[in-house]
Amino acid sequence: MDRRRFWSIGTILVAALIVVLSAIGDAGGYVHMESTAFLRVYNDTSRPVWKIVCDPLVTDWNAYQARELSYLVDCLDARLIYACARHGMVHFYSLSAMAILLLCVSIQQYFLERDFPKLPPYLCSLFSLAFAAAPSCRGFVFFRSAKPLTALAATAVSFAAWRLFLRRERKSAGRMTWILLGSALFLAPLADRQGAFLTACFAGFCGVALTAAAFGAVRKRFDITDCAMRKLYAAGMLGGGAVLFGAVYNMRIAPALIRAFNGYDPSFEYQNIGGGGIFNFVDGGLFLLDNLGFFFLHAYNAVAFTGGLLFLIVWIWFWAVRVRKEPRQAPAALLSAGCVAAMLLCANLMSFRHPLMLRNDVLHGAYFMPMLAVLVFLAALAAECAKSKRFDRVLAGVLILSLATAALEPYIPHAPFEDHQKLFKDTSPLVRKAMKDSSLDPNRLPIPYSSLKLVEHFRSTQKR
Amino acid sequence: MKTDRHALIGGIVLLTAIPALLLWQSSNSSKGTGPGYSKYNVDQFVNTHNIYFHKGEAAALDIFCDYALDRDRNYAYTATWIEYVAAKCGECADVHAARGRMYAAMGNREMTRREFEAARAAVRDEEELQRMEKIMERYGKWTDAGSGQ
Repeated sequence: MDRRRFWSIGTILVAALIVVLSAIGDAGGYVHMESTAFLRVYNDTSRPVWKIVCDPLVTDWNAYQARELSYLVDCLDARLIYACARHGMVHFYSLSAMAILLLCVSIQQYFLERDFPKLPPYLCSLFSLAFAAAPSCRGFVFFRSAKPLTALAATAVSFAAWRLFLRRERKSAGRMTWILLGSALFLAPLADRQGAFLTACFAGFCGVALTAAAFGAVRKRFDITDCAMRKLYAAGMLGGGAVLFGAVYNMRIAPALIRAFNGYDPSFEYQNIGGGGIFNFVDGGLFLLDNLGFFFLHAYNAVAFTGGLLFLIVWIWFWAVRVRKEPRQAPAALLSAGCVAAMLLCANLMSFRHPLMLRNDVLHGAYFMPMLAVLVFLAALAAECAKSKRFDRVLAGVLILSLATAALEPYIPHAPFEDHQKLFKDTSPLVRKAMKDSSLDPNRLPIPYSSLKLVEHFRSTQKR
Repeated sequence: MKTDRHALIGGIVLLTAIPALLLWQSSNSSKGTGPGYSKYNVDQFVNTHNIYFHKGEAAALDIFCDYALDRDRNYAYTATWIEYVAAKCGECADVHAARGRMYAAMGNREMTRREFEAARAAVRDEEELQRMEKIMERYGKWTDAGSGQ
């Protein structure tokens, strides 16, 4: 085994250890306020799985978002939780969240090892470990798989597209890379609206690249051959096809399935954000910069925001210097800027639709995970372009800081904030006890009403 | 090198089709034909009141009773939360009023009367008294000794 492979496998194993330690630290996890309903919905054995999955009234509180793939994964998670509880192992972990995180790390390591030859192995490891230890990725409590699935798609799209770019001159098809890219682009819109946005961004970037490469001067400047142009066409068609498929699925296919299986048309009210969301820069910027600062410092409010802002300024300065030194790196700089702009737009729309996500107890959750997956790729791209040992060391230092603050997070002082899940966290040991011990009367436990219904539902499934 | 017209057209098609597709999706404001809520929404509503109790807001007991008493088979669950609030906030007017409502649902006239009297005695100000009277108004027959069942 060569040294790089050794580092890659070691990184995946350490990431698995982080997953296990986080799960142990969560001590069985807690039942999320909304999951008390979802666990009952997905374990309703009186209805076939496809009817449950195509019923946004109960799987998404009537907020139709055409993300049936994630409901299917949630259904598997929920059934596994009940199955484990029947065997006396009561927990509220999402197995899919753990598996998806490890898949993301594996994909990162696979591509970093092969397509980023200039990067030292320790830096490649740090990218993945800081990603795995980030709070937005470590949410293993059963809730929704939509964001982790989108993060998986974002990882696959970024690294597969980079590989195709690197091998643009090769005649060989690189079939597996195309399959990975295509499946990620076509499945992402079925996982979450963020996934649909990711697909649209990829197709948009291909559109910009095609338009620019159409001009002879650009092709000459960047040595774009006919072979590379053919691959760019193919990527553009794949991206465009995925966006079209996602739109048709959202507008026609999923509503038809819902109508056929459950007899109603879904409401589009939640999806219909309106133009105002695009210009929601204050909230979107706050979301993005706060999360960026929190990723490195695990600090809250002004400290996190300032940290994020500082990091963004350094990033812009880095690319400005790189492009001035090596103008041929302009496309990489433009890609990085485009990705950050797309993240900001996504954050604008999300925070406009769901302002509660800016609360301190929600802000650093899974909403940021797909963006972090893209940031891992962008950081690797920056290091690859920098070709500087000093830059590698500085980046490694920042990532070590992120890992250290993640480990020390409980001890980092911060102003207290309200946790809207507190009651559910506090009462989950009682819920677990009531699910395990059928002689216990759940009516006499001070547990939330939906937790009581969950215990009653679980017991009713045991009797069958 | 000449301009690649196919690439130019392809790029422009992509750059115009994507916003058009996004606009198409966001143009649909259909409210759908579903009922809009399910039994799970009601559970979440009651949860909200459980959260208020956790924070020590006893006033939420009244709305909690509206929902919980209809659904509670043996009143054990309602009683558990009333006692939880009592332990957290003390024997305040809201706790007595909620206990009174629970006893009324159980059909225990004497205990209802006692708890409602205790609620009146525990009020802190005129505003709270008005609120208590409004709650008890609905249970007139339980508090007025001698009137019909």
